[in-house]
Amino acid sequence: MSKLCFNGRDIVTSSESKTVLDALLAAGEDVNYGCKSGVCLSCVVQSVDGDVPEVATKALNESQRALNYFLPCQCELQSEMSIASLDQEQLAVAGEVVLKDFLSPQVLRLRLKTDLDFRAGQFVTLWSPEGVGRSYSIASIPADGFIECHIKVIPDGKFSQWLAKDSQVGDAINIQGPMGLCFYQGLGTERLILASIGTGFAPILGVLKDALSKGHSGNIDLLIGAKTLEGFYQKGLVEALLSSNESISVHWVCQEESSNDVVQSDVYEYAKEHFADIAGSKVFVCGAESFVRKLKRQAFMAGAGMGDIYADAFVSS
Amino acid sequence: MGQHVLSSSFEKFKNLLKSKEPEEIQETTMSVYEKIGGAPAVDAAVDIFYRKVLADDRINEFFDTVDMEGQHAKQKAFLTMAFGGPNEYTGKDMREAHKHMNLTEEHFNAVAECLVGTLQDLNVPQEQIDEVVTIAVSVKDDVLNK
Repeated sequence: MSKLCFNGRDIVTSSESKTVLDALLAAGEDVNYGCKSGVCLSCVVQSVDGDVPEVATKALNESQRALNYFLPCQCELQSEMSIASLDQEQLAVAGEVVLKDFLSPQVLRLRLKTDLDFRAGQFVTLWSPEGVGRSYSIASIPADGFIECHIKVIPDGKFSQWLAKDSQVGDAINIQGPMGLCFYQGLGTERLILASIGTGFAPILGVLKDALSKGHSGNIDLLIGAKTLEGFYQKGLVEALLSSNESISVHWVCQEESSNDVVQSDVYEYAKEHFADIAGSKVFVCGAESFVRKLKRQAFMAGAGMGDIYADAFVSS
Repeated sequence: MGQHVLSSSFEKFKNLLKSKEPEEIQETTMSVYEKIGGAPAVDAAVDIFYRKVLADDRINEFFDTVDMEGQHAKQKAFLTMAFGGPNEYTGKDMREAHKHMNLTEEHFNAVAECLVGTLQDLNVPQEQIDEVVTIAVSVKDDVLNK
């Protein structure tokens, strides 16, 4: 007899169910599924406790495996398993504001002390005391001991205005998550191409710091785009990283202006020209949705494997 | 050129059938999916195939979507089926999925050419390419809603 726990509840299993998916469906659970052949990936769930046979994770990518995702349609019922659906609401934990400063007139840096388990590049939802929640990507690594977010202050933004004007060091902010699959999973020797516009740089910085802390030895290209020179809020942060790492090349690309180290170009044209053959590279693309969509496609067409492209697309609330 | 490759695959396939004695056919009952190398072969093929369809102006409008991962998974399912691998697709599924797309013979041929080109890039022997084409052609009427 198998013991199966789903979203914290025990499921009655019968000997007729061969796979975990069969057992969930037989118990009347409302779960997504499609091909039942391990191909469509519709039914993916997360293992909370218990071993999952390798065959049930074969079709998934590295990030998904790292988070203990597996395909219940390919997983025979084990003697004891605890699993969860991916849409399950995560509980919020409290974080304490330990730093709040402006990296540029538009971008605020917030650091929250928390014991949340996360990976650099994932995102969290932060909640104001009025119950306004917004999602931000994580620019820090666990060893930093805090979660760092880069927050664009929007003139009539409910959350960012509260944060800029009213919040103070020492305040508690509720944090929900982490979520997302955009994090470093490298072997350490491949080329990394990290592309961002705007505060899409935050998860990129997280991924970069994570890669460096894990001893990544392959070349790293940092492509940073902005509309105007003022948009490069992260110059100081990047320069600090460059001084100690020779393997990083930075490409500052500005749509409307140029300066000493900034090229004036359309960022997509620039990428097409400078990253024409990137087979074997791992590519991270973060920022506004249209930027992510276009660059992801370009990266794929330039030879990056679909499984080697990680993306974090920002949508505005 | 793609069109030519496809029809020559067909010719060879027909000749192959003619020249084989019944017992020889018995020997080759191993599915083309197994012969090509199973799931890892599909993994190797899917990126190449998806790149080809996205680069093909006759058909890329059907494949160019925000959800590249979702589309990639569909391509993988399609290739697994075309390679004769494990799948639960039925003619009805195929018909349903393509019903509203107003697809023509030209669209079907373009996809088949991408498929053949992919297998050629991977140095799959012609004989096995022919088998894959036969499977793909077997769903043609469903895809074109005929």
